[in-house]
Amino acid sequence: MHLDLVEAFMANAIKEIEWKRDLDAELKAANKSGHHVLLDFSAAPM
Amino acid sequence: MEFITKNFHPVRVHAVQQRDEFKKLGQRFNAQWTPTTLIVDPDGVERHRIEGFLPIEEFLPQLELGLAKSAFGRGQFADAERLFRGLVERYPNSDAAAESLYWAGVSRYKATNDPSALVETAKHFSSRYTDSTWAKKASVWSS
Repeated sequence: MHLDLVEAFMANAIKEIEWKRDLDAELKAANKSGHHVLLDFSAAPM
Repeated sequence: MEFITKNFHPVRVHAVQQRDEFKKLGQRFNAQWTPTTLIVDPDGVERHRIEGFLPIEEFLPQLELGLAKSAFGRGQFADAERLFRGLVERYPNSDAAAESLYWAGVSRYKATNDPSALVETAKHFSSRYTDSTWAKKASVWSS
């Protein structure tokens, strides 16, 4: 399977997630909320 | 995906659409391949890494494993044990389950200093996940 399709499959499975783009802002928010950051390095078609 | 939205601040760095950011953060977190998914604790410390594609039924247990490992890494051993055991209960057939069973035993030992927690874990591995690396690791605790 083409790599893009593999990642597209996974991206589709988690598509309803509202991914943010600013890591440092989210790290600050996580520090306040006590939650973790899920940092996804992706090449999936958006 | 409620589990993700409830427990995480999700951030995506795209290799093509954010080429410069991808390069910069890729170096910062040593991410050389996509997909690479990191679980970073509230203090900014990486606690778990998932490299390569996983189907959703393996991806979710890996996220739970990451949260449990994070609790363990921060010395919250009772919480860690609860999270590791919860994973084994919810996803007993996942690849993460054997690792989680191992660390549940270690977490209990760390919380109580009672070596029977490790002996008990080795007993579990005599009937579950017997072919796993984790069963081999736990075999040293057999009484």
